[in-house]
Amino acid sequence: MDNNENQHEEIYLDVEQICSQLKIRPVIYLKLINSFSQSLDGKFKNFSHALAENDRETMRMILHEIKGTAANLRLYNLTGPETVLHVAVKAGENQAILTRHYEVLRIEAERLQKYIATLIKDTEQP
Amino acid sequence: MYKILIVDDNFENRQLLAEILREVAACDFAASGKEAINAYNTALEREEGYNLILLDIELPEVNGLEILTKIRESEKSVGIALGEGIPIIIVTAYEKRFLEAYNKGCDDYILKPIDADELLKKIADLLDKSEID
Repeated sequence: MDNNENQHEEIYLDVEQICSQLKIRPVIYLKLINSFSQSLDGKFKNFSHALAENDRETMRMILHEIKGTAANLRLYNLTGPETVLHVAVKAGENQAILTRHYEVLRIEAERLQKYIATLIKDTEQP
Repeated sequence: MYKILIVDDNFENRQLLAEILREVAACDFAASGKEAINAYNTALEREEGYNLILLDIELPEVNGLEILTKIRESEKSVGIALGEGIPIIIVTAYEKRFLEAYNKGCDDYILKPIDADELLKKIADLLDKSEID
């Protein structure tokens, strides 16, 4: 699956199934994905700074954290764009290529953040 | 209830592991290598040592493999042989680092994304507590 294809995929989290698989309570799962979603802006801010400084190690660490947590929480729409960017960072690709891949990841993260915000809001309604 | 130390620099990962383990263990947390060493030493000093450690490899300052080495050296210095110390499960996304972790004395590993059944089974095997399954 390429990045463009990934961007057009509908995001859907089957909370019940994920929680059953992870053996955790839905209320906790929702708290965790909300917390992760809110943490993404800070992570991207740090990544942007590292990108501007061409600090590959910091970029790699941030991407590693996003990848591990997103996968643990079954937020798989981020893993494709993250992997493309991660590979590019490790391969020493130039700033222009990294910026392009980073933009794809950021857009995908924004879609996820919106989806999670709606999911949380719907859950909170009586 | 067992007492488990979860070492991971990511808040959501720590909480996720603790939630999966909520019925079998009370968990303490360390978000860095230094915190992990402090928590391990403090628990030993209070004679309330952990039953098991879940250890991420990629950590700021002191990484998981360095922590593993420090703990095994500390055990060796008081006469605890390799294989008889505190059970340590490496939690990692880096498949390639298993061998290195085994050589440094880890007891088992689990790959991210976490599989809850696999995690509980591995802990049960190490703690010899079949009812965890």
